[in-house]
Amino acid sequence: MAQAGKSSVTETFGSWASRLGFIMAIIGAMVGTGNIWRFPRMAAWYGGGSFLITWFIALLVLSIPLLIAEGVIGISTRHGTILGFGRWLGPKYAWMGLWLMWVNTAIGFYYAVVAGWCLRYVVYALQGVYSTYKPGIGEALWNGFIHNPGLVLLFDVIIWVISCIILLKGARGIEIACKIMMPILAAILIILAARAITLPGAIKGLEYLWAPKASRLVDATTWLQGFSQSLWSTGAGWGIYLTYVALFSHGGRKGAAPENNLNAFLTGFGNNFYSCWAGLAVIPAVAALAPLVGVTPHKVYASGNIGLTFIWLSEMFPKMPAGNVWAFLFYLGLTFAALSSQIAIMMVPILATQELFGWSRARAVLTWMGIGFIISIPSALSINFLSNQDWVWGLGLLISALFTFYVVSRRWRDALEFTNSISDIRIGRWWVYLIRFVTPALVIATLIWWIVQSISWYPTTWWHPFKIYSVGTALLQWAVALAIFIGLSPILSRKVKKVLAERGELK
Amino acid sequence: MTPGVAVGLIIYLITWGVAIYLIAKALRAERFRRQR
Repeated sequence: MAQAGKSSVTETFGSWASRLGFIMAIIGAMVGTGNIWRFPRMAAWYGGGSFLITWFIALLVLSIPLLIAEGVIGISTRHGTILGFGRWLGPKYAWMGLWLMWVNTAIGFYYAVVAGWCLRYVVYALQGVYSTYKPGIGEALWNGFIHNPGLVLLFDVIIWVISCIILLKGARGIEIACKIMMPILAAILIILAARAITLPGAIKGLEYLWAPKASRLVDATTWLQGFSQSLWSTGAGWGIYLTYVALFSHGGRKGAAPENNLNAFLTGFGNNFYSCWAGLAVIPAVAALAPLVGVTPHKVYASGNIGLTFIWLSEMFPKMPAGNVWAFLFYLGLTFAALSSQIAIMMVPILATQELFGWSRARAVLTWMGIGFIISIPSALSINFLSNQDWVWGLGLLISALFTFYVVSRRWRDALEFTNSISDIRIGRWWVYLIRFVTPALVIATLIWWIVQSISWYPTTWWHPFKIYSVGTALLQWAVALAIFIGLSPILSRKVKKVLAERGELK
Repeated sequence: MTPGVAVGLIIYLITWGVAIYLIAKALRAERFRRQR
């Protein structure tokens, strides 16, 4: 594909100034709360080493091939999701890019609230609430916070404002923020891991985390959870990688070089690097401290992400000497992970609409930050609403991945030739077989499995559109979004065609 | 600890090793490119 003369997105947002800056930004985007609160829990629950095997294989056969596919669209078109899909396969496919954009936006609306929760717990630690142990302190702190809507909204606002300040600086702002946050997060996780594995009784945690259980390895659930964890955690198929790589300058010595294959491997392994440390920080600590607060490690893992992070760990920190220090480090790391991902998630709609409508950077950022805050309010006020959105659009990401496979595999020869032409590491035909057949089949299997799971949770009311985790709610919300996007497709297609024609990029 | 923990430990070491190798490779490639 011919390269455009000048990219409107790099004119507006600037480009990655250095490879290190890009690496920190993309790892910041992908390393989120899921690395810290979901990965350790899943690993401990699904047979330790057994889960790690499935998760590692998923990285190689699902996430990295998908990241390479996203990179092909982003780098070759130098556009975000909407114009990127429109230019790669034709304007009538732009609605699929709009779906990718929307799913990120819908996630960003509630993810800021989650980031706000993490920040609240940093403040708890600074207030010294973890100095002395009182039975039930974890639940008391959580209820004291979550049932105070003003406070939840305050921390939500703080996250939107910080995101806004960073995004107004464009690519440079993201680079600087992530160059600060990501090394600190790595250092925090390593320090926490060192502390956790030296606690009395922590060795049992290493057993939970690393030793495989044969029964789990032959259980399809373990594999599907491993696939899900890898897809959600590496951000493959979300459109974030596509958006970030569109910000390469392609400009000689200046700026970072868009080596797609190396960057995709680096993103996947870099993300998992952080997950591994988070596993070492959380699981041995739970194994050592759970008995001290009268609970079994299994009950802690079964309590979900929120239960583990905001109730049980919060209950356990006072049992550690200098509990406030460890709590501060843990929740600060969690806040950095959430904030750097929130920025990336919102970059997807910001960049896609900026280039479609020719907005300035400030207009695009302020518009989405304003809309984002307003639509985050229901999630801030209702944890059920937030959980519902997490369920619906988390699964929606699997559909995003399928759209990405579809558009890239339609031009797989061009895609393979292009990605090898801009990379030192060459990939072979194996990638084509994966993205055309194997990986989409695995994503479809994962999607179907989640739907079957949901039916088992609500055997008689699985169709109900107002149950938090029902099939009905997911199908209804996807159907509404798809109906709107497909309905808008003729208008969107004309607009995309016009923008591409003005830029001399229409084939 | 059971010998089984070696499975997880090996996956951890591979992940850490490959991640550090790829980051070093990317940064080294950029240094050479800028020098050219």
